[in-house]
Amino acid sequence: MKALFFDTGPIITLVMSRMIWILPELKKKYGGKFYITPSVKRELITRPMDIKRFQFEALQALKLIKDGVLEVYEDVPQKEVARLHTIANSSFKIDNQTMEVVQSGEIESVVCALKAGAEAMVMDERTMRLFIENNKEMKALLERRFNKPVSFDAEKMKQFSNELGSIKIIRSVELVGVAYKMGLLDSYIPAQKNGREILVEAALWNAKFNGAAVTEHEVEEIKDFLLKK
Amino acid sequence: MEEAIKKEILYDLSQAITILEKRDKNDVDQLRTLSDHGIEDVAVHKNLDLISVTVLIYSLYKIVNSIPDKDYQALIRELQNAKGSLEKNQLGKYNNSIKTLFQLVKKCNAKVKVHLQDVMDAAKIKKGAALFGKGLSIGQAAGLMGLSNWDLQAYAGKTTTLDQHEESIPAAKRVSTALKIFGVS
Repeated sequence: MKALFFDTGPIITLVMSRMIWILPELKKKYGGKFYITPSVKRELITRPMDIKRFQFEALQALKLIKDGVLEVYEDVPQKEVARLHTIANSSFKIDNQTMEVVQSGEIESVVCALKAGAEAMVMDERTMRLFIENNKEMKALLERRFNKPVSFDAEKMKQFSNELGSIKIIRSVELVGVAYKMGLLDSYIPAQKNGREILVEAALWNAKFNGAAVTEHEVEEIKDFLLKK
Repeated sequence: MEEAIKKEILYDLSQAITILEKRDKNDVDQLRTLSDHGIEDVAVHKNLDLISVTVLIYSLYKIVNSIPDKDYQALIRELQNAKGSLEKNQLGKYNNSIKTLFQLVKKCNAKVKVHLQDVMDAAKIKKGAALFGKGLSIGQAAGLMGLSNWDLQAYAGKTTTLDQHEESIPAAKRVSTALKIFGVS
């Protein structure tokens, strides 16, 4: 199926960075479905509707559903989600206690994306990405952050990688990069010699300051890449 | 309540009492250190009672210099009550003390107007961000603190302390993948 599954984070980033308007344009260019799961909808819309500070942001996300830009993928394989959630959250131990590092909602998106045969996941969440893309590094990360030895179940981690590791992941900052390459941001280019560079830098930092999981070094790397091609 | 959790909470309460008993200028730093210690236990144990006490201590750190003497004495008394009740496994009394302590924090905050937003919301966000910094996912960290992902992501984007994270795929490769997916050259 020609589809992308969105986690909560990238949509929050695009709404907060006032760039959510690029999503309908990206969808037109993509020519496939943009899906969110029920858990993502709950965190993106239902919950913040009760929080005054984020109510309007929730309405902006809701509008994407009303306009058909985002669709809710209802066919969630709950047992599969629960099974992988258990594997993920029983893989690491600190002080003989299991570390629950990810939520079932985060796993739900990936499981649904795989079930639907989606082309990729759009996900900012760095812990979940690390888990999928390089879960051995997860142990090292926890050891560095806690300054304590972490034990891990290599078999479970291998199983997790085997089942979920095939999915491609892109982040909100990459969507901004695509929007730039499509020329969607051209009207913002300032009339000066290095106008394009200023625009790219501003757009990437805007995403970063609104929660995109991208390091300062990566902003530079992405900027160079976008301006070079 | 699990014995390990009880032990951690008793430690936190005892330390808080020791810090606050003699009012001096080091109280702020000491409460902050104690609160940082607490967040590691929260990350490991993920226990609501431990979360409450950690948030309480962080809230105290934020307002300690502005608490009027009368409320300050009430605060120490209630911390001692909470500790005593927990030692005797009187969990109902312990929970009432914790509730009273949060009410005292709220009352003090209303008087001193330390923050535009309620100090405990700020404490939850700060501690949620600390959990995220420890390697928990945003959803997991927000869930433990009773926050929405919006709260935590809004904060995480604005703080440089959370910038250091590891990526396993080079950024240029990921952009290249995204461009291919969208058929953009």
